[in-house]
Amino acid sequence: MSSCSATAIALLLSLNSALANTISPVETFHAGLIDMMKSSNYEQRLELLRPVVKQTFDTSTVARIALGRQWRKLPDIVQQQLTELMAEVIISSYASRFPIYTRQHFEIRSEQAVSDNRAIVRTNLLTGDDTVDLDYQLIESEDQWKIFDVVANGVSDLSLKRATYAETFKASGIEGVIEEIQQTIQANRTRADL
Amino acid sequence: MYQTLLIRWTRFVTARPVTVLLIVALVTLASGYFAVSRFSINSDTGKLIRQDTAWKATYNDFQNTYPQYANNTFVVISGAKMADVRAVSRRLEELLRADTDTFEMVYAPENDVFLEDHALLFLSVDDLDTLVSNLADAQPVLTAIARDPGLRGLFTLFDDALGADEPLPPGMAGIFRLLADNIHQTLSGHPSPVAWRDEMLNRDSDVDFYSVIFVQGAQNFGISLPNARIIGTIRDTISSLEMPQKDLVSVRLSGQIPLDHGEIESAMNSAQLAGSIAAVVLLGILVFGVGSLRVIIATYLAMIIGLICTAAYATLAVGQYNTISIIFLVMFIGLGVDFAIHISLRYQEELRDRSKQDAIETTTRDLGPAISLCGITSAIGFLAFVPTEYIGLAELGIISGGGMIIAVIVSLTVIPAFFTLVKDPVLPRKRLLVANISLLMLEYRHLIVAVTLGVALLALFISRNAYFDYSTLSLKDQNSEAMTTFRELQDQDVITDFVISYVAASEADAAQTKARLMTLDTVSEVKIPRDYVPVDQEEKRFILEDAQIMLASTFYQEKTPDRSSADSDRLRDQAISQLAASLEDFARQSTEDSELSDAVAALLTELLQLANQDTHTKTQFEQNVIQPMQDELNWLNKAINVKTFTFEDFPATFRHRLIAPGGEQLVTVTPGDDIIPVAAMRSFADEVQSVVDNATGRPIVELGIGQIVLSAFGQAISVAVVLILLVLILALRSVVDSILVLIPLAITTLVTFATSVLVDLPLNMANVVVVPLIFGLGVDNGIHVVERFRESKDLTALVRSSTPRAVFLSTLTTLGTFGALSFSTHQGIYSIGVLLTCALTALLFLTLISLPALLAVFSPYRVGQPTSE
Repeated sequence: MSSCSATAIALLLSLNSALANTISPVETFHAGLIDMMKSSNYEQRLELLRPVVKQTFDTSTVARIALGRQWRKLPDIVQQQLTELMAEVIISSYASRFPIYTRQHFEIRSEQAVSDNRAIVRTNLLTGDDTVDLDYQLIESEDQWKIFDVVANGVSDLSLKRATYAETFKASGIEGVIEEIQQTIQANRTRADL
Repeated sequence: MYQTLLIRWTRFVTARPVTVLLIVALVTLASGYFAVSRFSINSDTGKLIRQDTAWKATYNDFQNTYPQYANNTFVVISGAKMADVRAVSRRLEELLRADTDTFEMVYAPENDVFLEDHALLFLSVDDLDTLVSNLADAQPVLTAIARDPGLRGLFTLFDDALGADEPLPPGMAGIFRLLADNIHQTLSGHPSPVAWRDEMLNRDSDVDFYSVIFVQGAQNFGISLPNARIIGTIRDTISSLEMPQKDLVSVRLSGQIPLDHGEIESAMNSAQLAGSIAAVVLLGILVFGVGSLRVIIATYLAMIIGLICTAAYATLAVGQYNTISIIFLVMFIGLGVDFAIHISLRYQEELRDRSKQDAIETTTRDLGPAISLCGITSAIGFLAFVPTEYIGLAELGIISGGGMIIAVIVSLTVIPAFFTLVKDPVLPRKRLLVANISLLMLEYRHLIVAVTLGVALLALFISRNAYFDYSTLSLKDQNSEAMTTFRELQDQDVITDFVISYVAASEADAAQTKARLMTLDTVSEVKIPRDYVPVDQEEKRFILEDAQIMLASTFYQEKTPDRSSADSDRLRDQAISQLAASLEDFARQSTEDSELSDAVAALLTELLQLANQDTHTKTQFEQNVIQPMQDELNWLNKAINVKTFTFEDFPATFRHRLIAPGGEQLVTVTPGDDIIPVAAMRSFADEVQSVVDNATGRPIVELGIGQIVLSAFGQAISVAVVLILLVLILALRSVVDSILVLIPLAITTLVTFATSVLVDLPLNMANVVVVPLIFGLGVDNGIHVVERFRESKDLTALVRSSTPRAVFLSTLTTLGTFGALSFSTHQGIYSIGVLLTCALTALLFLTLISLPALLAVFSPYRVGQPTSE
């Protein structure tokens, strides 16, 4: 056999292993969600989910894309603050929206490479009487695949953030954006009805 | 001696009037046939000026290097929705392109696939960033349609959004409104595709979107197709277009070819309209002023015969009319009758105490030389432009000069022959009011002279603000489609025509020239080919990457299985009633967002109606929603994934409009200020030309043409004044009287300039003809008045004579016909009409009131006059 086909096989294997790495953050996140759903205390839910999101989400990418071109003009300290806030808004959204655990479970449906550092993992959330399509977008940086977008029944969370914050930024600048994120976090706390 | 000749001619005519009139009739018929069958108007308005100047050579060089820009027709498609405009533009371009017999070049930058695919890179960084945010806004819709390409996919998304306890995503109201409007159109029988891109790009639909197709006619064995054929074919193609979007956009024609074509049409229509008005006005004046049917018939007959012969002579002498010379046919109606009026009225007067034959001969003897002299001076006024570079007016001069001579000959032939045959006209009984005024005014001659002087000074004061309008466009019908569209394209910055172009030999030359031009005060922008490549492409690629990331859910899809048509019908109907239910639920909740609640209510109403329609209507609506969205998705997928590019990547058609096949690079210089005012235009052109002397463009061409027109104008006035003064001195044998005759004319000229200031009708390429005409035509009345002033044995005789009446009437007929010109749509003809009307009115007063007073005060012949004291 030529070395050519050997290289090809090696490449295929590495691609497969790369994709295999995309599934694990999604599975970790799902496991975290199930754990969280078993709790009915909002504060406890946040505590349970925070390390999982921090581990599996690339919240700086979320913040960067959500802010658009303005991102790069922001000082490091503000970027840092926004990255933190983005994590909190994600955590509080899941904590407030996901119901108490009643044997819901996740299924990995498929995975697809989009580019050499991006991939999509498609999953279903089965709640007994309903199925929600949950598609994750992942990005690889520093040899680690992390989630940066969750598409629920075709609606991209990242796009929603971009649409919202870009408009706010235009109207009231970065302070407005920070205020709006903080309000969302607060609203999530208020709506958490467990 | 000339008198003897005239009397011999009159005797010859009166001896055999029937034969003479028959011959005249035959000549007239032949002339009429010749004139009508050979009638044509020169369509190239550029040929109105002699072509051997430096700026013209540069302009020709430019056209040889970039033939694409010459003789274009712009097919301008515009409308509120970009999607509709593009759809119509694209189809129209296809159809025009297919007609290779008629069109050589058909090019629409907006439809260029390469430019469209790379469209996002042409946006500014900020705009692109906003656009990507808008795409984020539209992501759910885009993904829904990609996932399930039918109403179900889209409507399920809406159901979810409406049912969620979250606020609706921003932009939802807009989409609901769009769909409601589309259903409404479908139900009212005008189904058309949804303009998704406008919604996606968040385009402000108050601002029209433009797409211009540049069209050049084919060359037929080296000869350009007639403008009428090019325009006709384009119009036919437009009307053959059957698209639902056609009713939503406007398709108009502009550019050089329609402008030229329109100018000729408006000149033709103007001449016809003014001619008809003039003929009627003339009849009215004659009825009012003459009161004798035979005199009216005689005058009219002479005018018509003269007109037809002049038309034939014009075709023979210059071949083609141009848009200015055509007006002489109208002017002739007023001018040609003047001689006939003078002869007829004098004849009528002579009949008081003479026999028919004697009266005719006396009229010829006394009036013939004056009439001939008037013909010559008028001809000089018209011919004044002949030696100049201004071919357009030179041709008018040749036609009119000849026309005046023809009018003299016809008057001296037809009128005697006519009166020999008919019964004598009734004698004039009443004295016209004007005669009384003359009598009264003569008493106050010193006062009149003083007032006249005052008027002259005032006119001089006002006319110092008179200016020349250099724009060749200002001659055209300002309300024609071609003109209004042309101005709109300028106003909207779609096509800027007031730029200067320079052809650089190389890229280095272009860049250096640009650097030097940018230092000029009057220059705001200089574009070289390289500038057409978008800047900051790398940064834009990063921004587009955001879009790629956010829309990955749209473009990376698991395929939904194909469905049978029965299935899709059922799913669609379900989706419609489901969405109606969701909207109804939503409407029950209170929302503060009135825009949203209105949109929800509107969509609900329309959906409920749609639900009751047949399958065909519903399928049609579904297609109109989904198909354009899929087209947009395909475009978007390409547009957000484009690679950066360089000038060489542009398609050849686009490149060659900037870099000619020989490597010459187009440099376009845009002025900083509005350069419609001549001073601004001149300093812009001068500054640019100080850097590059072989630049061209509308500012330089217009200044060049204007220069020629102005110097022609100066030349023509000098020629007219000098020649007329010479003729006057020879004829009147008195330098003082000759100068006295010229004074009212000079004052009239000042009054005309003052009028041009007061009514804001600047001098232009067409109406400069007015000033030499004032001298040529005005001097006629002066000659009549002076001759009669000297002939009269006493003042009462002068005032009671037919002369004031004839002067008054003939000026009135001229006034009436020239006034008719001011009903023209052609702005050049219109301005000639208005200015000449004012000039002749002034002339009437100055000749009938000021000139007798001047003569009474200064003329060496005044000694023989009994004073009125």
